[in-house]
Amino acid sequence: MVSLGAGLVLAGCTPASDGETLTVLAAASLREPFAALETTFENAHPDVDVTLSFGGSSDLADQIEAGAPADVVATADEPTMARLTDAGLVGTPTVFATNVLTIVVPTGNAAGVTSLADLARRDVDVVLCAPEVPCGRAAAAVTDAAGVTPHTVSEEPSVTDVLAKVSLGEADAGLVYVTDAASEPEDIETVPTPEAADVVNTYPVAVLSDPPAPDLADEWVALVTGAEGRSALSEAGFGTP
Amino acid sequence: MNGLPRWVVLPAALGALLVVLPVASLLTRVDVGSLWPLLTSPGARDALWLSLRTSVVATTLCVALGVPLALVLARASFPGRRLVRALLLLPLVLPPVVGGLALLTLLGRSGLLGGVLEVIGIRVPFTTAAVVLAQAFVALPFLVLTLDGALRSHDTAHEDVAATLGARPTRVLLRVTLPALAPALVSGTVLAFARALGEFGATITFAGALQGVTQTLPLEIYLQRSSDPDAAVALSLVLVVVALAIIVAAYGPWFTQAPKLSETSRPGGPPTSPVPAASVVDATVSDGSSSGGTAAGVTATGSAARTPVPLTVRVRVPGRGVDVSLDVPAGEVVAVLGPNGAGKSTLLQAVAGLGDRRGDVMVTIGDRVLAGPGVPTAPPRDRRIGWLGQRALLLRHLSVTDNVAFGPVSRGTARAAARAFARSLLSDVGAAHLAGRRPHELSGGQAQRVAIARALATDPDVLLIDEPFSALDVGAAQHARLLLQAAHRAAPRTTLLVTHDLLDVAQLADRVVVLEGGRVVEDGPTAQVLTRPRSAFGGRFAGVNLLVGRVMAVRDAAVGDIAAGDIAAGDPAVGDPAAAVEGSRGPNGGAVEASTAVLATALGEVHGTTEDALEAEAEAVALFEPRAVSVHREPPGGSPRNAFLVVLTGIEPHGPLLRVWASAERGTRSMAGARGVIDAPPGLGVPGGGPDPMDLSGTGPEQVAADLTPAAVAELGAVPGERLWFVVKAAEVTVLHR
Repeated sequence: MVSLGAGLVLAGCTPASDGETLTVLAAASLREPFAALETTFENAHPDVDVTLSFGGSSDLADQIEAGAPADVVATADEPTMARLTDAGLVGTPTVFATNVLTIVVPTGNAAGVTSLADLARRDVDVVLCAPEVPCGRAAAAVTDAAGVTPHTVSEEPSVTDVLAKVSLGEADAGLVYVTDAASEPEDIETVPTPEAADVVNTYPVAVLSDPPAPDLADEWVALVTGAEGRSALSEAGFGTP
Repeated sequence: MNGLPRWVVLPAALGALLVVLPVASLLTRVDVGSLWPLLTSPGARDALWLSLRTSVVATTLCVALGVPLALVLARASFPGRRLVRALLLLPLVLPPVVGGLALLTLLGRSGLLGGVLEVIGIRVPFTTAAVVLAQAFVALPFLVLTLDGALRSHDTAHEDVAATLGARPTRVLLRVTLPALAPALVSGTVLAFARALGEFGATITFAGALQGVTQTLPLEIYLQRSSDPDAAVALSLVLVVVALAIIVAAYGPWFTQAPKLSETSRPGGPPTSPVPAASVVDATVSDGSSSGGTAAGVTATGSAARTPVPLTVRVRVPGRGVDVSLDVPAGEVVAVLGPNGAGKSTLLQAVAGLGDRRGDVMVTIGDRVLAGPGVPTAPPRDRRIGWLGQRALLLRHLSVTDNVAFGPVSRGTARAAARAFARSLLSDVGAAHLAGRRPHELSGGQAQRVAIARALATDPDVLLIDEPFSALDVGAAQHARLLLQAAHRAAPRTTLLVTHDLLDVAQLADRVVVLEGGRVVEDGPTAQVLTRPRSAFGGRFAGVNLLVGRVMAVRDAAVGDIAAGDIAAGDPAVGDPAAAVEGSRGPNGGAVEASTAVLATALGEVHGTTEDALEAEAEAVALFEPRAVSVHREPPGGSPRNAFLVVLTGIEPHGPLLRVWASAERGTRSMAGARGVIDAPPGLGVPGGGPDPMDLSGTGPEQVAADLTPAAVAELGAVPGERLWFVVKAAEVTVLHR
């Protein structure tokens, strides 16, 4: 049933030629750099169609546990990748990007947030990621290290939800990854957050244990970790190891 | 299997599996050992408790706002109603996240209303109130659509009856409409609660997630899933169990009542009391007689105080061609006859103040002007009328006693006194033993007897009766008819009785009014209309052949022929034809001697006797009994006065005889005899076949009947469509002016 469904999906994506397909599952924050790398890869391999599927890292892990047909997976944190390595579902992961948190405020910064300490003010409504998700763990690490107890009004299930609440002006401040902040320049401003530099989030990429296209999978990992990959990631605001 | 085709089982089973299997397999993933610590963890406990609280509040909000909304949508008519109904579907279609976003753009800090609220210090997002609003937003359509559907499948007949009994709109809503809606209300509420309990997308967007404040169980499950999938599964189990428990608890009472409802179909109604019927009757009768007298004294509407009052009604609905005026003297029972669409129900509804309010209506009962130019139209509850329809329309959720007491209580009588009065009325109609039953435990005849008692309980000035017994079998109908007759004899009451039943008319009516095409076409004492009808419908109703035509000539027995041409010429020797006819009677010393008259009808020339003073070219009717007609295949020999060439349309049993129906053949006009083309009155064109001649509901083409013995019919050997000759002696035909 699963293979039938996957077959239909892939049939829909494959060009008329009988070329190969490379399926990459990636954390949602990687959308921009990976889309650029898809073009690069397909230019180098005219017969290959790269299928990118973005989602929350734990959603991706769930899909792989459920047997989704894919070649490569890139997550936004190492604990999630560890779930897959422990289960023997992927090969050895490689860290290819880093990301740090930053304070974001609605354009205009009506609440006058200038530092991490301001997040503790009673008149500042703060939204964070929930501690169960990677960005929430990172946020907790940053605030704990700085000894700040933020005035949290909501613990959101994803970075996107935090960004949405800040950009709509419902929250006075939030903690998101610098790459997420870069993606919404219109409605938000960033506030320098030096305390966040110590909590670095790392992005691992790995080839699945039994990929349909093992050679292409290895080439994709090489591309992402190589010079072109680093360039695309830097452009999107990521750090590289 | 209840008449269902067997194959439906397969898709039905697949449908059930589609829902049950995934949930069941979810249960297999639950690690029972870790369940308890997880369920007692603060996060899960807070989330569950918050979910329950917010869902209950949101559901209450849905009921408080959704019930009135559904009522307005289903019952009120206003421009844009369909649009509003369509807009209310939106939350079902919108992804919940978008719903949450919509709430933010209204109530958020920079939202349309939220900005104002912020100024006065109210912040909605990130509060528990926001959770409730998000849940109500997505759950409300389920309740409203369920109720709206149920309301639109109910007609308002019960509400109308309650209004005629004197109930104010709020009382009608609370005591009639909502109880009838109870099953739909329960389903809708359960649906709304389930939707609120499972709500996720709008909540996370609008309210956020914070433990104990806005983090409901679905949000907790979603968050747990990213770190600990097993915990998420276990929490889902909690949600499933809670939802099931609530749904079973809500539906429970209705499931247990279901078999009771199915007993309605059992003929005669089930015995509900182990006590022998006779002793129940005795007990109730003695009870009723002891308290009934006092009750009648207590109620201001005691029948002893009332004297009958006259009724005047005029209805003009130009759009429907209705223009009827009727004066009913105090205490008279007027039967209103006529084909469907003739305006009978419009007339009754105008008196009651029910139905649509189009057209000009004037209604006066006694000295009370209830509707008319420059007068505020009185609502049904203030008109002091009683309504008795084809359906008994008892209120299902009330006992028989409370149904009868409904009117007096609505008019302000104390409940205990009203009940006692109701019991005495029930014993008057022979229904004392039914007092404690529910309407679904009654047979049709019993229900109609209770309906009679209920209509009389408010002691109305005018009784409006609309085909009261047409749904009953012959015995039950006769029983109910006699009850009405007895009630009327005991206390005469001005009554309009719409019926298609000859027995109703013969037994109850003082006077008959026939409506056709929105006009009164006949109005006379019952005996006259039944024996000498002057309208086509009246003739068919009375079971006699009736042909409408124009007077061609009148021949007086003493003076001799008065030719129509002579009359038209204004012969001075004859003078006024009416005077001539009258004059001819004078010399005979009052011994009325019948003249003969000739009519031009759709069937040709008709010769008959008349006692009326007829003018040439005047409209008149010819009546003759079906048994006076003989039927021939060939033109009859000799020169009988009336021989009609007709086309056989049907044969049906009529007592020991067979009734042969026929209609005028197309082209009969040209064969109409010496006087040439017949000027048939409009609307009575020559038919070619036609509807069932006994169908009193419609004005068909002119039909004539002949009653023959079965042997004679066999000898004739005719089949429908064949041409026959109908022959009737002139002496058997009575001509009456119209």
